[in-house]
Amino acid sequence: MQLRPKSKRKIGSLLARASLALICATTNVAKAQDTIVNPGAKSGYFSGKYAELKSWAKWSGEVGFLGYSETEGRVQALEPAVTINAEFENEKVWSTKLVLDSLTGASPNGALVSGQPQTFTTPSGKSNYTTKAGDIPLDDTFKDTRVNVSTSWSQPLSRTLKGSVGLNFSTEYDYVSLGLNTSLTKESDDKNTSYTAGLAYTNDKISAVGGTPIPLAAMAPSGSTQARDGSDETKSTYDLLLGMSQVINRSWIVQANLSLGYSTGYLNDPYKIVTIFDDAAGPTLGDAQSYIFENRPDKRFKQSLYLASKNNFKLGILTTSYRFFTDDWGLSSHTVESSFNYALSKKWHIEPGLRVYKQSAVDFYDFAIGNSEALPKEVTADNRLGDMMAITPSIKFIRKLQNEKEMSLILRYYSQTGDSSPSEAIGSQKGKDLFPKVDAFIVHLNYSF
Amino acid sequence: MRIIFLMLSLMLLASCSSLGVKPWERDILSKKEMQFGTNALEEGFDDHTYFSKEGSSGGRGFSSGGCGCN
Repeated sequence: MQLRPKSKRKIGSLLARASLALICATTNVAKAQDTIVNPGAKSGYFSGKYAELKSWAKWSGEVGFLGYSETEGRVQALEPAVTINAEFENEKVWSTKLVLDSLTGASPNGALVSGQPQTFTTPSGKSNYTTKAGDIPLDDTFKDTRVNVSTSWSQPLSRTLKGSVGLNFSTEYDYVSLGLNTSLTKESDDKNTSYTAGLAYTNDKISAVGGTPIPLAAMAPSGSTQARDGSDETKSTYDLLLGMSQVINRSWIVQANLSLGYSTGYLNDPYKIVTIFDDAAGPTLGDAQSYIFENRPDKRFKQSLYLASKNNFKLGILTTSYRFFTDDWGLSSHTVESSFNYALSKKWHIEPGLRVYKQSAVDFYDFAIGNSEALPKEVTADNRLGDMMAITPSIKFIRKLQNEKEMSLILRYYSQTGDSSPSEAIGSQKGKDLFPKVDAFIVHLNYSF
Repeated sequence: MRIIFLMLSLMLLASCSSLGVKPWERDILSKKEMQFGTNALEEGFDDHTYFSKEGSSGGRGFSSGGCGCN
């Protein structure tokens, strides 16, 4: 169990580490390239093997780094990634991607801000943490490192048909996932239209710290018997994707994707709780009395339509996309994204962008439950399933390199807001921020080789 | 249902013979910025970030999960 003290990462430190990682990556690539040009730089057996490996396929890839940092000591993530592609004869490609995902910081546990200090039991059940009166309850006991490996093989099946198969594996301390996917892409003879159909199956195992909590059971004090059913849980997801792209004219291409996804099994967040508050008139009206573990349905059917367009203008290239998402939990969302790529010079491009996201809550979302109310069958106070909006302005700097390779730096600012003062708030809940804002700085560094 | 109808309508759009270009008219379309899916690592980072903080997922590709973050 991770009980290391919280680390505070400042943006400057994050960027410095990111820059160092990219410099190291580019230096290593430059050294490798230098060895390719000067095979005599490493003598004998290894240079021979290296030349043999190099001639085995046409190699390409990308090295990238994601830094994510929320304000006020909340979630921080560092995520280096590398993709390597080996292209063989007849356009056969083997592609492998490795991602490391390191998470630290504090995350809302779902409990409501209260007029009194609140004490919560950690997921292990062995200790507790306290939130001051008026503060957002945050669980800072999780530290997580995830490793994700995916690999795929694609090849032409005929002059206009291409197929691919892939495998995806991810592991972290409380979650293991294994998935398979396959797709077919058919191009028209004139290559102006393409159709894609893809299928994916993913099986996940959830081993919650301290054991899977019994849904809707009360959170017990630390050191006492916890409400756990003592078993691991599983989740299966089936995805279907139908897509098409169409060249409209010399300067315009569009894409449309229809996605259907069906998940079944354990869909709860085992670490999220819901506040039961005092709804009787009196001095403690609105104060938290106890907490229960959330419960979501054990099935979810998701549908989305994604439309994208790329237009070349004299000044630059405009990319716009829209996604409509809905599911049988009652959630629906609209996502609009747009960016404009402008060439400052032959080597330098700049690309400002904006993403706007609006979501309406799932049917079983509630910010808290009054103690005289009947307990619903399903309930969550997870803000990620509530009514909310997120705006993300961004700027991307691109440095073009030889042979159509490039380096880029992207800066984004993610700002999510919800209903801080719902009309149902009573007593001590009034005047408090009941939907904590999320503000995060995001940086990407990418290098293609 | 409406989503499926809209998708079918878009597919019918592709049957319009006036759309598209000849092979020698692909100069602009060959630019990296004019192609879909050429920033796979960047898009993967974005998809992961957004579905960790929001209730929606997918669209560009499979509605990937594979982690305990959503």
